[in-house]
Amino acid sequence: MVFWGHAPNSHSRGPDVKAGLEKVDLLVIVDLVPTLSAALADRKNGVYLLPAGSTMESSGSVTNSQRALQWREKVIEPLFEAKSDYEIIYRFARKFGFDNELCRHIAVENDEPVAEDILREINRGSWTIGYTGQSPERLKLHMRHQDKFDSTTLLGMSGPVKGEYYGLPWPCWGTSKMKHPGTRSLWDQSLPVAEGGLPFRARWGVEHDGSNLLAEGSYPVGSEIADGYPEFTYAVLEKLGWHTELTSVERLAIATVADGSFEPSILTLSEQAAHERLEELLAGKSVDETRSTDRTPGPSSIEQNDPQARQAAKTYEDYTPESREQKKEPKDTGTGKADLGGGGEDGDQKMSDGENFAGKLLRVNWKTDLSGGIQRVAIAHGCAPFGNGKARALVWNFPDPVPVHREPLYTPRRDLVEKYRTYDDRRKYRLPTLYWSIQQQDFSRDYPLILTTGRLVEYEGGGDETRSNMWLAELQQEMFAEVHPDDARALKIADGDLIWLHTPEGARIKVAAMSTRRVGRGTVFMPFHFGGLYQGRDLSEKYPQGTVPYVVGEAANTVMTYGYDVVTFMQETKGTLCRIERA
Amino acid sequence: MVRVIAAIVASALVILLGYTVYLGSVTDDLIVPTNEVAGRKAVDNPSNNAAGRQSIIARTELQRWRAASGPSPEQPRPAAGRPADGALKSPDAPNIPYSEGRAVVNDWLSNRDGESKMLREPQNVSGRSSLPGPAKETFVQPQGRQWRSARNGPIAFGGAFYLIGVAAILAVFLSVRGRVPIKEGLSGQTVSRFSAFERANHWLTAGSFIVLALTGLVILFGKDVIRPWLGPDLFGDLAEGSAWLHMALVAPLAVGVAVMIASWSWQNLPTALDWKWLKQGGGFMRDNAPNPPADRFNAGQKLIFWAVILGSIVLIGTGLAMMFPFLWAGYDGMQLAQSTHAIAALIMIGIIFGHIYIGTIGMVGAFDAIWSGNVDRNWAKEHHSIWYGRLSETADADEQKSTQPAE
Amino acid sequence: MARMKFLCDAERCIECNACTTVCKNEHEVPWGMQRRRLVTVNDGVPGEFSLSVSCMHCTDAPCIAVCPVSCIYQTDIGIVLHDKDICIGCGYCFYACPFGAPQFPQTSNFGSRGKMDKCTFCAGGPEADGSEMEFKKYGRNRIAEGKLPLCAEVCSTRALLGGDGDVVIDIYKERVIRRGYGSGAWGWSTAYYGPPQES
Repeated sequence: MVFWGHAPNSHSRGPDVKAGLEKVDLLVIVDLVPTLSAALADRKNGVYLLPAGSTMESSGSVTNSQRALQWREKVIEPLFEAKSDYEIIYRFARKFGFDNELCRHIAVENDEPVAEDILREINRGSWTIGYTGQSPERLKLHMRHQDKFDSTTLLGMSGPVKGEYYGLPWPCWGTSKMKHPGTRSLWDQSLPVAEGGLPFRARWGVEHDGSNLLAEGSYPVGSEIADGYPEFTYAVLEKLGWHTELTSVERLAIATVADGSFEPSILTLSEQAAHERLEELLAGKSVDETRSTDRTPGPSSIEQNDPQARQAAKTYEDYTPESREQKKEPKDTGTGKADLGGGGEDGDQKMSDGENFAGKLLRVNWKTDLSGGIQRVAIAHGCAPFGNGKARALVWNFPDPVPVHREPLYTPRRDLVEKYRTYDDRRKYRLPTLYWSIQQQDFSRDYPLILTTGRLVEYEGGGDETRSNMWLAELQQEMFAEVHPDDARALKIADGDLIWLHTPEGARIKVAAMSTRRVGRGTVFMPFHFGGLYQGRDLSEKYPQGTVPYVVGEAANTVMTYGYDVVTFMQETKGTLCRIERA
Repeated sequence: MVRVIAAIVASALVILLGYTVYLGSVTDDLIVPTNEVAGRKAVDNPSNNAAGRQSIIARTELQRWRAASGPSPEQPRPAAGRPADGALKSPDAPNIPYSEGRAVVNDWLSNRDGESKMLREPQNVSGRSSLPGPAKETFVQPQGRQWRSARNGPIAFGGAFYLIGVAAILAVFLSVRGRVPIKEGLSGQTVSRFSAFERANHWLTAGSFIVLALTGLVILFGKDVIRPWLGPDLFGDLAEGSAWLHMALVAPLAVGVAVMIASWSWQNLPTALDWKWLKQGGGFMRDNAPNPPADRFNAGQKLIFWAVILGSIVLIGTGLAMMFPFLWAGYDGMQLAQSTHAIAALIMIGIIFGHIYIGTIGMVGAFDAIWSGNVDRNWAKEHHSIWYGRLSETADADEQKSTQPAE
Repeated sequence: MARMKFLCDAERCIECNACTTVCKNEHEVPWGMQRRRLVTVNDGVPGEFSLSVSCMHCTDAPCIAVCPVSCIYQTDIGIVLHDKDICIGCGYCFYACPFGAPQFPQTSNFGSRGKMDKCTFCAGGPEADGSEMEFKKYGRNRIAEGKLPLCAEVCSTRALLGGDGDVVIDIYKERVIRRGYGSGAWGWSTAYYGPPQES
């Protein structure tokens, strides 16, 4: 098991986590600090600490939650035995024998993959979210001209960054050559797509249960299609007649993607060379598979012969704006499978090997066209590559298409259980997941208080790194549980007293009580950033010498109990029951 | 001769007293900017030139724009506040002439009128802080300013007036009365008055008290009285030593006082004789006045004793409160403790002035009691007749048994 | 030119502790001493607000008045500084300070404290500007570089304002006009004007 920048105290059910850590054959921890992973398990062998450098010890791009990217420069070489994350992963790959595959397009210097190439590799593939236009060169340009951006609107006001948004927040469509300015606000229809505007993505097909899922009468400024439209594929381009605007390189890329023979080197061919290779490629296909008229890949002649291609073409024919009004029978083209697997994909079926080349060609779309040509042409016409659809409030492929209240598995409100019952126990993939069998038991008599957890501003995540930072650690020096003053009084607990906090699965932690009205009566809150104490036992001596964080404390998640989200399998860390007593 | 010197000293003290009153009436406690530790090397003050000040104003302006909704992209961005490198130190940048401190402060205070609507009346504000440690949760305790006024005003000037006053009274008394003589003259024969243990303990207590008093006075008055003579650095060292000694000597004082309580307090319980002794002023006032009877300790000594005991307890208690902040006293408690400490200490120093006076220069033969432990028989007879009577009975009995003649 | 002032706008402070953290980092203030700290008033009840507090660099500063060795002084732009070579660690400034600004390393015996340390408005101390000794004793001198205290310059919500007092109160007035009185300029009457004057 490898922990890479992750802490075990982020996981609920502490005793189970500990038992698990003790059972794995090998425990590898890649981090700045040993983290609780190194200290929690009672094991002497098979634990490896790989010191990783901090953000100052390597360069690279970082993306913030506002979707903007910044380029950070290496300030110092990795200190002591530390290595950069890049080097560690490269050495792993080499050991496992796939370093050449991993770094096929990435230069490696002194065993360290070059950061710029890593970002270029990301740019090459991340078409779906528009993480493609932010080349290292563009980001570095932004860093150099930081002073030219307006700090409220983030818009570049002058110089080489004029008109671009700071950090090129994704989606930054197309290749970096396209110079898309990035998207400051998603779904801002007051701007053309080429200047950072967007409609809502046509994400769930074009129709569901007879309802049109495409936008109606709403589109970004400058859109040549003044209505909703599905996502862009080669077929759509052709239908609109815009496919002629693709360059030969883009056509060749599209054709080779369909064909399965795409090579990144194609993108660097000259127009002439690309044109020749395209002809060669198409000539190699059977008559049925190519169109005879203008040697441009397209569906018109193939449709008759290939039922799948026919259907694909028909799908888009039905939903081009002109044809929509005349359409007679609504069709459910959204796949909308009612399973838990995810968000429901659109008509983006996997290209099966058995499929006809022309069919594949028609379905090459804005996400799979590795040249970015489809995105470029769509945006040139003021259209969003991902279509123009509606948001949905009915998630038909979720267990609860519209969210309904369901009582937590561990609830003090037994009176609500019948009406707001949880799911039945289920089994998804290989994993049985318990719901009703836990909720049906009444723990509220022995554990009367609601327990929830959350964050402190001073610490981050498992807190091992921030608790090892002197300036931050000083601000929060003791793990605590917030208890309402009325509850504290009833339990004869004063502010600052040490308490034992027990939860229904048998774990308990020793923390300081904080009597405060921040929490309501009957609720206990704990921050989850602490670690280094386990059920009252100090683990400090188990850290490698000199690496004990300045502040240690009980991990809140030691006592958090069973429970997993029905769709994402995210653990339940926010709601359980507890009992507290003076320590 | 002694009386002439005393008269001169008394006159000087009265003049000093007058000067103290004058100072107290004219001294203005307002703090004015000096740009440096007074009397020390001048500091380089970068904000003293125009470029520095312009830069500060420009940087402050930068804090403004995010207060509003933000500039529109059409508006020019505020210029960065950083002046050109070297501008701050440029010899061309003219130094702003240093205005007299008082004028500067008046200028600052005049802003109150324009800002009064933004201000809140001074009040105690406390909340919660995640930091461990006392008083971290206090935002403001305006009473700090009141403590400062009390210490720098009534306590400092009142204390100075009181101490100089006590000294002046004693000098006047000495010049008028002269030393209190032994009426029958020295007999040449002595009796033992205080054991070595008692004397040792007295000097332990007295020694620590004197050092404590002097170091305490350095802390209270040194800034105004000694610092101008020594300069800031030397005085700083003196004050640091004083502060250290002042805290270190708590222990010997406490031990001395505790032993005194154990060994002397039963002899210092008030009796009916004390009232009579006090009414007759101990027989000190005139040479021919009869000495009222007294046991081992007369009423005057008893008063000193109890003053020392009570005073020391108060001083040690309040001193410890300051030495260990927030151990049991909060802000209010420590401010009260400091004020009490200063007042009690000043009162006690005055009392000890009297004690030292009467034990040394004020009365012939008194000092021997606590120095050699042996006092002249006539002194003992006159001032502690009952004690002497009891002593001579046992001594006569002893003498009969012994062949050794008394010295 | 007005004097330097700090103002913490309680309506804006989000208790993020950035000011306290950058202060510790900028000046390398040891563990246990806080030149700046955060106080949350009305914790957990309606009307809760937070204030960032440090030395306010008072007009007629009580600490200067009570210092028995006169090691504290004021510059003519109102910054209150002190000389650690002279300080005797008596703690009087701490009793007098309305804002709990003076900090002491609790290392010595007999309850005697080490040299007092407090916010310098990022203006260092008596040592030569920008010298290593100045940094060691008093922290960075940003004023000498034409910069303002880092805590104020780093504040992301512009709750903590620091710099020229006229500009600071002007910014604050603008806010008051926009949003209403709010809770007022906390601590200002105590810091800059002392107890109300009889008129």
